[in-house]
Amino acid sequence: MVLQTIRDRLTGIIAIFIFAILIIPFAFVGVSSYFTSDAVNAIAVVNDQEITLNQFNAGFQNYRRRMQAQLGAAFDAELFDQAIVRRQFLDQMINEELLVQVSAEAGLAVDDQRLALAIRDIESFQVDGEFNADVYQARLAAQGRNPAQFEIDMRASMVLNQLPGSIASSAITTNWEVNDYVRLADQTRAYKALLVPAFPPEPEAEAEAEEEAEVADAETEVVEEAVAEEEILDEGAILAWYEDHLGEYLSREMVSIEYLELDAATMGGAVEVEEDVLLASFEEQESRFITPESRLASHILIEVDSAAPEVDIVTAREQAEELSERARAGEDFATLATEYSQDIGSASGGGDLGWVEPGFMVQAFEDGLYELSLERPVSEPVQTGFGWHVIQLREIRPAEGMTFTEARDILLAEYKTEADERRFLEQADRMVDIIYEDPTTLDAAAEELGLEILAAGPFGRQGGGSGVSANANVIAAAFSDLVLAQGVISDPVDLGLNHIVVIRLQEHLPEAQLPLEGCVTRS
Amino acid sequence: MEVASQAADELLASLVAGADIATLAVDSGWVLVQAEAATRTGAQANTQLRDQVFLLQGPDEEGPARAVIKLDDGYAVIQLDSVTPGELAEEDALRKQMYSRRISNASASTETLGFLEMLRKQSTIQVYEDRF
Repeated sequence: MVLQTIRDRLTGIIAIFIFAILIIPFAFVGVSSYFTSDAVNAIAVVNDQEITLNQFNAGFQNYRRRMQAQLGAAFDAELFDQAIVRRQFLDQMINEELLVQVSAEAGLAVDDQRLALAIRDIESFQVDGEFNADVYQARLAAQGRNPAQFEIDMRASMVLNQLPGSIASSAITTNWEVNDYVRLADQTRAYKALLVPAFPPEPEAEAEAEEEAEVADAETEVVEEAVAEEEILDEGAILAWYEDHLGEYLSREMVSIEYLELDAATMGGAVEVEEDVLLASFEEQESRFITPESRLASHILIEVDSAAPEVDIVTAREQAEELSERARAGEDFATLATEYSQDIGSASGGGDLGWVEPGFMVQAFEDGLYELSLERPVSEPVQTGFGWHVIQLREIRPAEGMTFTEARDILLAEYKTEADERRFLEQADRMVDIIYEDPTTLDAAAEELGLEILAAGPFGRQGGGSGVSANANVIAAAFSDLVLAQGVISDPVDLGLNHIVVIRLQEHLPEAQLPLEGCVTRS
Repeated sequence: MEVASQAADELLASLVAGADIATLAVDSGWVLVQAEAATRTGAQANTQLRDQVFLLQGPDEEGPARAVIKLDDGYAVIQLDSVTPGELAEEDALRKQMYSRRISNASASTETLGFLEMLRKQSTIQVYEDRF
């Protein structure tokens, strides 16, 4: 469960890199050493840059401590001492070094403002959700560090994450891909299977196997295998057969359990929601329900750096103005763009930029485009960091989507699901707390949470025919050391999404010899 | 194991010849398990069986697909009756978003690994295994 939680939180290499930023407040040692070299005992060399044994050891110990803190009791020290784990960590350091180098070559940097914002966002340095400078310094001091060192490391980590982060943010998924994925991921199959065990039970165990297949009761039978069907047996022969085949006539080990069940789907209780809450939720998620108006645009760019001498900026503006006037006088915009635009990406296509949605372009350009109308489709020159643009609006695709009324049912259903889930988690937490206080009884939890104590069984290790006793996780829990030997209540057992049970042993019927008198004849 | 393999093959031959699997279960005494709508990740007592079922080719116009698969503790003679593709309701925006994010993450991971692989190929990397 713990490992799954970690996996859920950290999927893929993207997470690993992004995670590097998050762990900084908790792992103040080792990071800066990745970026300097003491030039001795190189364990690896990446394009002439050494990774020393000291750097590796510091980094690996840091990683090991982090994983120990995350995994808790599930941490396997032996696993972390294996050469393969150390080698994998070295590979990651090599990857980081490569990213450092390529980021430096590309001139990637993080400015002070962004660094400050990132530090202010770190919860460890906040009090009541606000950054607190005293806490910041105290937390660093507790780790033997100072803000200057920390900021150097933080900046380095942020630079390191820029490339993987950009790759992650550029990943686009089409509807076709989603539907194709769903077709496979949510595929269902109907099947039947006959299980042929590798080691078939010995003849004397067959009776037991048959009982299980038939969900037999504990009353058992004597098999008349030694004689022909029509043969009449005397009691002596039966006794002799019985004594020769004692191992065949054993009752199955079985348990009866009592349990408490929590299921978000059946917890009931009306969820009341104010209309304002739904409306606020709709507004917050507007982009989910509404595709904003988009505009088909072209432009002509006259490049000039905003820091260029004033005369250059004015000259460029005058040229843009002239082109704007010519376009508005009726000259073909695409022809003008092809001839004069200095945007190498669009000039050859007549300045075509395709459909533009809000948020795609720099603000000044977007403002200029959205001020245009189909009646007045060509703009005055608009200045951005790239230079002066003359923008042409060619077509408008109106906003599409759902109104609040149309989306209301979806929002309401989601709200209810979330409310059910919240209530389920609260109750599950409380249940665990109560059981933790006295793990020998379900009574207290049942009373406080208003749950009925249910019962199941007896059933064997193959499980019962239906209900919770047919669930493999429940069977495993019922026959676990915790429940069966220690006699305490199980950990919560997942039956599905937001659906758990906790179980307690009610009765244990160990495997035992069946008396001859209790047996009946089986043909 | 060999005996079990042979028994499984014989059962498969009977199935292919038109025998009913439930009848075979009764006659042979082996346990019959079945699922009407098993999912790839659904809770099942025998997850190895479930995973193997999802590796099988689906039924064709001639009827159910049948196969013998090897499990850790024996063999399973399988009759795959139907394969139903998953569906995403148009209005299920939440699930769609979730799946979309999942695919994007997977794609981003692959691309990042590819990028790192490219960097590695363009670089000179020496690892001193003896100092490791």
